[in-house]
Amino acid sequence: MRHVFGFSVVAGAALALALAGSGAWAGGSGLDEQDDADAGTPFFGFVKDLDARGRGLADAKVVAEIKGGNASLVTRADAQGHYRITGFGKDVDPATVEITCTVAGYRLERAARRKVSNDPGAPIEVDCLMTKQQAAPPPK
Amino acid sequence: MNVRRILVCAVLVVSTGLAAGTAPAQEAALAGQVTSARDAAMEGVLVSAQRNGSPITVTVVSDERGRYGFPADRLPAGTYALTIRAAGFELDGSAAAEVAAGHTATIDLRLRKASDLAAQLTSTEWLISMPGTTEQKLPLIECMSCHTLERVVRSKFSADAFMGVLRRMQTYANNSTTQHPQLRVAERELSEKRARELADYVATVNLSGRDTWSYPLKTLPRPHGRATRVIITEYALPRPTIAPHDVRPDGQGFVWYSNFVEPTLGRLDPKTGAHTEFRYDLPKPKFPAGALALEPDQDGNWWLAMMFQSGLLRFDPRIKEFRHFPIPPEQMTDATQQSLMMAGHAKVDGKVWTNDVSTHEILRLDLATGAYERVNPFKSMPKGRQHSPYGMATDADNNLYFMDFGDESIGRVDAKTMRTTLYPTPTPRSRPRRGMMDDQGRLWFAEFAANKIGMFDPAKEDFKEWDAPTPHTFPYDVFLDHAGDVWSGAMSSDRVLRLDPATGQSIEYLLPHQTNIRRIFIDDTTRPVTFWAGNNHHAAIVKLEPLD
Repeated sequence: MRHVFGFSVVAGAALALALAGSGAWAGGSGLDEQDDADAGTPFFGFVKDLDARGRGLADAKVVAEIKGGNASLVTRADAQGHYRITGFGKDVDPATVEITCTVAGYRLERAARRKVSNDPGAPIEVDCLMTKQQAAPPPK
Repeated sequence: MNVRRILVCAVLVVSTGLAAGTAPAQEAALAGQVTSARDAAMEGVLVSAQRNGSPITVTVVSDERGRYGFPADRLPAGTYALTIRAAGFELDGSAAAEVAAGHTATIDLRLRKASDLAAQLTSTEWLISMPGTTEQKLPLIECMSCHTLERVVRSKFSADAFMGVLRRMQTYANNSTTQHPQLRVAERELSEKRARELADYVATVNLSGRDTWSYPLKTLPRPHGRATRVIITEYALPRPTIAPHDVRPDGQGFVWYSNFVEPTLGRLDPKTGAHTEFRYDLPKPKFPAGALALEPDQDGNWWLAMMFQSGLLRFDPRIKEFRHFPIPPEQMTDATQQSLMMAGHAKVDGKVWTNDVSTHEILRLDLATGAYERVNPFKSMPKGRQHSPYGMATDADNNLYFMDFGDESIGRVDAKTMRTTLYPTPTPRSRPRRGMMDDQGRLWFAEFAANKIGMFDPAKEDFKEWDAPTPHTFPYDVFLDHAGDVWSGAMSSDRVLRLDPATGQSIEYLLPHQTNIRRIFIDDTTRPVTFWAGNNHHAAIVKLEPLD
């Protein structure tokens, strides 16, 4: 599964001076620790074809956008229509994250959303329910 | 390559005369056969010739009959010292040749078993030889920024002593070489946990408490078949401290390079070996010197990313003048570091892209005002993940594509909206490093930690990946040539990779000397193409010409 993340510009943002002394080779470092403790709420679900009894739609593009426009994130579903989105930090309120899906020839009927549990940080399932788009009538 | 040594070396097997009846000798200035006590004909032996007093070394490779031959136009008349490279072997004595115009010097070379195999191993071969998991070995790739792993495995440090070594290594700037170490000004944090894991591991594979290695030393196969059909030319630079990081030919027959550890921009005339340096003033004299990325703009200027000197430097080769574009004081820290940049499409909108390693941000310079805009593509990502925008390429609209060397993504920054999109590679933690955009708008890049070549097609938002044929080679950069072959180089294996992405078939050309390859460039104006790179640790420019 491929993920795509998108974020808006932070032009002229204050420097992250707290990072000024942190690990800094010319790039990353194999001695750096990758710590996912700060990872926020994951999202997952299926992209389903309502016209085919909920069959999964492969390779759909799934967009997770933080309302207010400061960040967005996109995932591609796998061959079974399943996707999983990780990557936002804990400081992103999952209630502000909107999920939409795109498949050529289909339109999003609705995004069915439910929490797996009430535990903080528990994954949120969002299924994209898609229907075939009607072909445009030929011009008269 | 000590030229003076040539004068005192004994000539073992030398006979000079007209061309012998064999095919290579008929057209050669110098030819012969390579044998050993075990092999009547040795394929894949690199034979190097350096003329007395010349900075240029030319290398060819013996074929399946053990025959080697230097084309007449590659060796001007003179006295040449000959050296070889074949893992496990060394020349049985020394060899030299007198080359005369219109004649073929014939020198047969006899090899014997190497007296010190360990001294011949590349870092890749050490990693293949060592016991341990890939996870245990992976942090060692950081050592190769400044030296090979031979230094590590020959050390006698215990795990505790090695912790001290690692802490000391953290004090050096990444633009350091063993010839020219430079201390950082800003401290760099070291994960004690990760360092302890590495120290404990190294103490099991070095010479701590033992006289020799507890594991067999393994070498990669010698070149075979097409990998022997190549001519390699090395241009030694005049000071051992010069560290050519990015190397690029221009349209006038010169080859330019960034010096990773000194405040100079270098220029080589490959026809003559003549070398010129253009020195610039240090904006921050108390900080490590040197530049990493060297990129041209559409006006024919060269641009340097100034590392700890900060900002970008433009050089106009017509008037031989530099202009510095500094980072504003209010944005400057002791850790500010511009390592990469891209000015290839600056004419589109008057903007040049670069990075700030210390804040993991992308910067965009406005040429009209000198102001830098900042983009943090990872603002909403988990804070514990490491990120580092590194390799850069731009499309025709000056949209930026960058490689997140700290983690696993290709990123795109829209030039109009400055909106950033990240595309993680199919292989997690691949650490994409550097690459190029082809004329179809596809991004080819090296997946450093994944040991893979990657291709991202922005039109399809889709990736493809190819495994590097040899483990632990850690590709640094990738270049696609006009025929569709993908080229790559690395810091660890002394090999140049040529991959056909359509078939997955590949060739690995072995280089004659230990070569720390960073940026690579393919000159598509020659047929076959010409590969260029710098030897970042040994002050040489390398030209590789495949013969097919």
